[in-house]
Amino acid sequence: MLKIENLHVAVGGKEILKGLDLEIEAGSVHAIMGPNGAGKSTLSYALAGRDSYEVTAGSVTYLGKDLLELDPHERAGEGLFLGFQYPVEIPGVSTMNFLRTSLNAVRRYRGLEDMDAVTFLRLVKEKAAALDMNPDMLKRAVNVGFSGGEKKRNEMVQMAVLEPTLAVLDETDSGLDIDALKVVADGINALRSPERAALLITHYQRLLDYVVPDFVHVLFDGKIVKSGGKELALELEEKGYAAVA
Amino acid sequence: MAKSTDIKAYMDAFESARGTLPGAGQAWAEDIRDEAMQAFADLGLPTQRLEDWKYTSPNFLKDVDYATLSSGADIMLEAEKQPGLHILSLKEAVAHQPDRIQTLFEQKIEGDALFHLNRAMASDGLVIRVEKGCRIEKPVTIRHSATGQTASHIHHLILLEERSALTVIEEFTGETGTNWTNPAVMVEIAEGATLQHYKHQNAGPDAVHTAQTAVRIAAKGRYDRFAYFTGAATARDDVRVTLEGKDAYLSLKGLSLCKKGQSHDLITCTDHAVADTASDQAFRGVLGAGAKAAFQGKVIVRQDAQKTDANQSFKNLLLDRSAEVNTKPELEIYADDVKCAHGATVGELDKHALFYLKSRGIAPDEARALLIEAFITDQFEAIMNKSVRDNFMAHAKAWMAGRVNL
Repeated sequence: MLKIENLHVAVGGKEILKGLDLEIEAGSVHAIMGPNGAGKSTLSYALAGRDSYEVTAGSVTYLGKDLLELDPHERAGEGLFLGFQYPVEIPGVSTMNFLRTSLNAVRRYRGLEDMDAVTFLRLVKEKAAALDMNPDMLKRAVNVGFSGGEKKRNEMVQMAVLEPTLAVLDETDSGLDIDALKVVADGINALRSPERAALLITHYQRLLDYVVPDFVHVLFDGKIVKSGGKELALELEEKGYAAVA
Repeated sequence: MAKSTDIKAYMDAFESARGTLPGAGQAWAEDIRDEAMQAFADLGLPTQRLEDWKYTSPNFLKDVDYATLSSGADIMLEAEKQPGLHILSLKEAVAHQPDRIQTLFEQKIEGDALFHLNRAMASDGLVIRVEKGCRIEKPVTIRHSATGQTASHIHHLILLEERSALTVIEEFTGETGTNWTNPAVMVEIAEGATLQHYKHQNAGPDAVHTAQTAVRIAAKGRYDRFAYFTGAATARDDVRVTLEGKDAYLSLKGLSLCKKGQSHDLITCTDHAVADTASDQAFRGVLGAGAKAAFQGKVIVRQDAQKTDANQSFKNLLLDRSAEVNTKPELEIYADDVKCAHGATVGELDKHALFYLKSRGIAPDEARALLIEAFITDQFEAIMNKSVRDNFMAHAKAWMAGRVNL
């Protein structure tokens, strides 16, 4: 589904990713772990197509297409979803309006008609309930005044509504208490299917207790230095990155 | 013929018009007009050297011979009959209720030449009064429309007696043509009374709009104002409010949607005259390529005005690098136990928010439009009257749809 080859990415002229290789098959869940500054967030932003993340070499193929040729909104249209480490506050745009605009934009990209208001409302309420989100929050401006946990939950509601083919979740577990973590994990697990895949970017092994990955990779200084099964996460937790890398 | 830049042209115009103006033949009214004309003559026409005129070019006064133009603003009143609400034309009020009107008409805005000119030349206007304790449900709407090449000096008086309440909506529209509208609104809010005052300045594309509003708020009185500026080539809104009694509250909000060839200048002066009063001001501007806007807000806290709580915020969105915006918060504080905060931002659309929206599949143009709309919606939240808010929003959406290079 996703094939990253020799990816080099620079931010502000500084090279952060230095030849990263990764391949993700449909139906699998991958976790990338690594210390601060290893390039975890850079990878997620580069995949989503953020402006200031300059790809200087390498290629990314997604569902047979050159992902790097696509604009960020086209990548989303193709089924890529980035769960933000720091979800952005947007005063003046209600969460509901944001979700509707987003879903319909993606549907239009795929040649589908806009979803009618009644069906949409039912869908959002159902997804929000499944993720324990208070329906009142849907009326509030996107992430404005939300706690850290509520923001992450909101990311999960967006993901549930958009039903991405590939979800890249950048430290979705950070700042969550154990109850919220379980809810978020349920949200991710609910989307697991043979057609979909997920890439979890995380600092800690904690999330992986609830979303059990098929593969774990260690990112260190801009490259994947080690890959393994779910037991690698435990080893990292125990011995630290330096020993494993 | 004398040019408009020449004060004498205005004095001549005044002399020939005075016999037809409201209050003609009534000594007290004639005296007020004489004194106003003299004050105007003493001050002279505004120049850019004046602090308040720093950001508006008064050149429009030179370009057109306004002194010789006749009045051309139609005033349409939309108000349902409601107990306690009294509305008269300026002419009727001056003729029939001189005592009540005199004190209001005597009020001055010192140092403002165009206000004095308005008072001297005032040819039309409304006098709105709400009786003690009457809370008027249905808003009073005043629609002004200017035609052709005209110069109109309109003078409204709004008087709210104790514990009364009213909503006033002012709308200014107009055709093409270099018409000048120079309106003044004098407001008096008695103890415990509340006025919601909404204004949409949507004058014609060549129009000049120079408005002055002076408000006095007594104890426990409340004044909420929202000025929505979208029209005219050159527009100024000068609002001066004095909080004169304990627990008086003021909310001054506004939004300018400004495009190429337009200049909007929103000026406020808030005078906290006594202790325990509060004011909250927030203005926003959305500026397209080549647009020019200014927001000037002065807050005075007098020596006795302890426990004053004054907030000021100016936020501007520049849709193009060629737009120009000036913000000037100004504080004059003579008391020592006060809370005054002010902030100003000028920026482009938030890049993080844009990327966030794009990452959710929203195309760049739609994402930009959504953020501009959000910036505007957020400001309209200050409008308590839902139908006003909806009307302004619908207008703003049409404005956005008409902008190229959003």
